[in-house]
Amino acid sequence: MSDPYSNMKLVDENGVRLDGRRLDELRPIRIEAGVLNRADGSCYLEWGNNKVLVGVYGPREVHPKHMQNPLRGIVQARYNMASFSVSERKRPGPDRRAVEISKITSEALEAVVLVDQFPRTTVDVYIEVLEASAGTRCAGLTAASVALADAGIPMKDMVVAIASGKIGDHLALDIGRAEDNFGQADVPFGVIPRTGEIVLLQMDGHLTKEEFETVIEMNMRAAMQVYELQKAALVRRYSAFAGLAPGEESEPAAPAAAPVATGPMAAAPVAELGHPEGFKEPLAPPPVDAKVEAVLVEGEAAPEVEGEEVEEPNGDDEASSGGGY
Amino acid sequence: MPSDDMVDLVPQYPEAAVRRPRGPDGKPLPRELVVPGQVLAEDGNVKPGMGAYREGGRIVASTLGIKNVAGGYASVIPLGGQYIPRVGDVVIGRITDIGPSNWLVDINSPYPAPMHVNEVPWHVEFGETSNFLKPGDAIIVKIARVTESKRVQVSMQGPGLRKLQGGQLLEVEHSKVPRIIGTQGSMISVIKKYTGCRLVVGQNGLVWMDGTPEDIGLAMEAIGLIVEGAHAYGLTNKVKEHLQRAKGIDPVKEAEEEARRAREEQERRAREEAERRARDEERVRQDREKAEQARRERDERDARRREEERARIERERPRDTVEEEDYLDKATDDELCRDADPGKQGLVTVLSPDGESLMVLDEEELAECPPEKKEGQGQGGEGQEGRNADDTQEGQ
Amino acid sequence: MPADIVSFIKRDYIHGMAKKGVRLDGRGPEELRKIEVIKPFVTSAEGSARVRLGKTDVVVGVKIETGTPFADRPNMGVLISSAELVPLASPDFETGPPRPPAIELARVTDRAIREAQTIDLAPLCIEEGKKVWMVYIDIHPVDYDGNLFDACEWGALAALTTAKVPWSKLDPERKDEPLPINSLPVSITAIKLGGMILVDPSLDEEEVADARLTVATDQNGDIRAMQKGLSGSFSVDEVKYIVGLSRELGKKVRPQLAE
Repeated sequence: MSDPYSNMKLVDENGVRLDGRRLDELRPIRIEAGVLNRADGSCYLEWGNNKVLVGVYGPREVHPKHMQNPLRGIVQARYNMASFSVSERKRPGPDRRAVEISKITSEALEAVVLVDQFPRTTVDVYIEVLEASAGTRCAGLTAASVALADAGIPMKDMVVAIASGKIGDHLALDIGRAEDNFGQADVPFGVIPRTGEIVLLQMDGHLTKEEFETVIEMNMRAAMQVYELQKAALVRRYSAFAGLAPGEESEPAAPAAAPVATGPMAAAPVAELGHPEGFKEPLAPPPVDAKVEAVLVEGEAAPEVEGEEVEEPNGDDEASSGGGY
Repeated sequence: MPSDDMVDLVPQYPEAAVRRPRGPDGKPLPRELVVPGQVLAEDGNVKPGMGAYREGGRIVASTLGIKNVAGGYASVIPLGGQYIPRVGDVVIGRITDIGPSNWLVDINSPYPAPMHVNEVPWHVEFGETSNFLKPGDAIIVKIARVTESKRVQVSMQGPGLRKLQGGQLLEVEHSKVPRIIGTQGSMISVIKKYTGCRLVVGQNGLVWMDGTPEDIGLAMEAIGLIVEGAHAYGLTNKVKEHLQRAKGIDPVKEAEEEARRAREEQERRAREEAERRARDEERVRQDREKAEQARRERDERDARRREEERARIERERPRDTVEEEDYLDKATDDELCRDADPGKQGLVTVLSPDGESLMVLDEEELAECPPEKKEGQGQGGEGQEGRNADDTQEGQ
Repeated sequence: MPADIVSFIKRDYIHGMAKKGVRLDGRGPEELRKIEVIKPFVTSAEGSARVRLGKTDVVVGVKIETGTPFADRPNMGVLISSAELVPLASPDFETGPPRPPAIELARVTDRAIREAQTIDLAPLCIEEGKKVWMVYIDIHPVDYDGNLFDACEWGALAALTTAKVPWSKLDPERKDEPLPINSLPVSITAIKLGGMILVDPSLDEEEVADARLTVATDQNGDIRAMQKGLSGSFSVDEVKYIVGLSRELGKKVRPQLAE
C-alpha cells in the first residue's frame, strides 16, 4: 500500500499542523465522570479522535489469593483496544504492546493510590480504547485518574498524561496520529500536576538534551490545563451534591453551570469543551537542531521514527484468543 | 424486645453533624467539592481528618468529596467509595460460608468478616453452626475488631443485634445511608409510616425491609428517590408525598390534616398542662392545710399530754416535806388559818391552795390564828375565841 | 430499579411479584426498556453503533477488510462475528479468552444475521476464489444490566446499516459503497419466571429466571433464528407466545435501528 504521508509536511511554513493546530495547542478534550452503572467508578474521555472508556472496580478481594499483599493493596490496570478501534482490525485480546502499557499504567497509578489503606485487596482499572488516534495510553491514564476518584478510591493526587514530541523538526505539544507515525520523537509523560512529580515517562526517537527539556516543559504546562478539565468533570458529575453534605438538605439547587451530557456518546460535537486556549505565552518555535537542518537541506525525508504508538497490529501478536466464532 | 430503631439512628459521619457555616443572609453556604490532591488548609495547626492527609504544613484531600474544615480538623466527607469497616459500626451482613466453629459474613466491604461462635448469643456446639445460621441468612452485627491489615471480626452480642427473619435485602452506596435515615430519623420514619414496612439500615449500605410485596416495592421506590437525590432540597417532603400518593392519600389534604391534627394536639396539650397546673396548685394548697392542721393537733396533743403527765406526776409523787415546809414557811398565819378545816374536833385541817390537805392544826396552833379567820369555822367559833383570849387554861 | 441500587432480592420475591404481573422496575411483562441508538460511533471502523437498552450498554464495530473466501463459497464475502465480554462491563466478567457465554452470545447474534441473509455477500467478491471482503462484527459490551442478546444483536444491525465497503482502498477510481443490506432480523428475548413470560429481562430478573428464549424475526414476520437458554423448559404455547411477541416488538424496534 503506498504511503500517503511520505511526502507530507507535518508542519507548514506558518507553523500549522496537519489538523490545523498550532505547535502548542492541545487537541479538543471532553471528559465525563460516572458514566457506567456496574463499575464502582468510571470515566469516558475523548481526546482528539481518541475515545477511551475506563471502569474501576475496588478495592476488592484479590483472586488468586497468592497475589494478595498483606501490607498493602495492589493496582491492576488493564489496557485493551477494541478490534474496531484501529484502521486495520485488531484481533481481540491483549498483544505485547497492550501488556506493556498495562504495566506502566499500573505503576503510574500505584504512585498515587494510597494502597496502604486497604491491604490484601486489589483495585482493578479497565481501560477500553474504543477508537484510537495516537496518545491512547495518555488518554487512558488521564481517564483512569478520574475513574479512580469517581470510585472514591483514596489517592494522593490526580494524574494527567500527555505526549509531546518532535515533528517536522519542530517541537510540538500533544502528538497526533500521523505525527506519531512519521514524527521524529515522542515523549509520553504522566505527571501529578500539583507537585510536578513524574509517574510515567517514555521516549522514543531522537532529541537533544535541550529539546527534551523543552518537551518536558510543554507537557508540564499542558497537564495543568487537562487537570482543570478532570476536576470540572468530577464536579459536574456530583453537582447535585456539591451544595451539601450527606444527610443534609440543601437550598434549591442552582442549575448546573455546564449541562450534564446525558451520555458520553451523545451526538454533541466532540469538542464540547472547545479548543483549549493554548499557553498564555506562546512558545517561540525552538531552534532546529543543526544536524537535522542539514539533512533537510539535502532533500532527504526526515528520518522515519518507529513510533511507539503504532495502532496497526505489529505482527508479534501473541494473543491466542481468536475472539469468538 | 430490641428495637429496630437502634440501627437506624446511628450517624454515619459524626463530622458531618458540624453546623454548616452560614452566609450574611443566614442561608447555609454551599459546600465545596474537592478532588484528591486539593489543598484543604494551609494552617499548620489544622489536623488531617477523614479523607485527608498531611503534606508538610498543608492538609490535602485524598478522596473525592465535600470539604469540611471545622474544629481544628480538615477532612473530606466522601461521596462514594467502598465501605471500609470501623470498630463500633452496626452493619447488616449476609452469611456466605460456614465452618464448624465460625461463619463467614459478607458485610459489603472488600474484607470478609468471620464471626466466631463465641460472638453470638447462643451456645453453639462444635459442628452445629448450621443449626443457627446458614449461608444466605441476613444478620445485624457490629464490627468488633479491625486489625492493621484490615482483618475484621464481627459480633452479634449486644442490644439490637440479631438474625433477620424473612424480608428483603437491598444494597445502596453506604455514603447515602445518612440520607435514608435523615436528621434524627425523620426520613426513615416517613418511609416506615407510609409503607408499614419494618426497616433496618446498616451503616455499610445494606437495607433490610419486611412487609407485603407491594409495600416493599414502595419502600424501594422511596429509597431510590433518596439515593438519586437530585432534588436534594425538601427531599423528605418529596419522598413523603410520593408515598402518600402511592397509598391514595392526597398530599395536600394530608398536609392540611396533619397541620390540623398538630394544632389540636397542641391545644390539647396546653389544656392538659393548664389542668395539671391547677391540680398541682390545689394539691399544694391542700397539703399545706393538712400540714397546718396536723401541726395544730400535734401541738394540742402535746400540750394535753404534758398536762396529764404533770398531773400524774403530782399524784403519784410521794409527799415531799420540803415542799410542805415551803408552803408552811411561805404561808402567812392568815393563810394557814383560813385554810384550816373546822370539821375535825380539836383538829383543823389546813389545805394548800390547790385543795390538797397539807396539815392538821391542833387547837393550840389554831388558837394562834387570827380571830377573823375562825369565823368560818362553825360551832367552836366563839368558844374558841374565848380560849384564845385566855391561853393558859389547862387540859383543854 | 432506581440508580445506585443493587439488590439481593430473593428469587421468591421476584417470582411472587411476577405472578401478579409486576416487575421490579414497574414495567409490564411485554414492555421493553428505553432504547437509545447512536450511529455511527467510532470513525476507525467502517461501521459502528452504540446501543443502550435500559442500563445495558453495547458498542459494536464493523470492520471490512480483504481476505480469502471459504473454499465452498469462492465468490461470496465472509461474515465473522465475535464478542468480547470485557471485565469493564461487569464484576462477573473475567479477563482472558472468550468463555462459553461470550461464544454463545456471538454465535446467536451471528445466526440471526447470517440466516436472514441480512447482508448480501455476493457483491462482496473481489476476485473469485482469491479475494473477498471480510465483514467482521465485533461486539463490545461496556455495561451489563441484563439482556445482552438483544442489545448486542441490535447493535450489530445498527452498525451494519452504517457500514461502507472501502472499495476506494483497493481501487482509487471506485467509491466506497454502503454494505448491501437485505433485511433486518430483530431479536427479542424473553425469560420465564414464576410461570410468567417477561420480555427484555433486567439483570435481577435474569439471575432468577428459569428459562430464556431469543427469537429473531424479519420485517415479514418470518422467524430467522432461535436460541433457548438456561435449564428450565417452555411449553409449546409459551414458545408460540414469544414468537408472537418477537414479531410485534420487532416491528417497533426495527425502525430505530434502521433510520
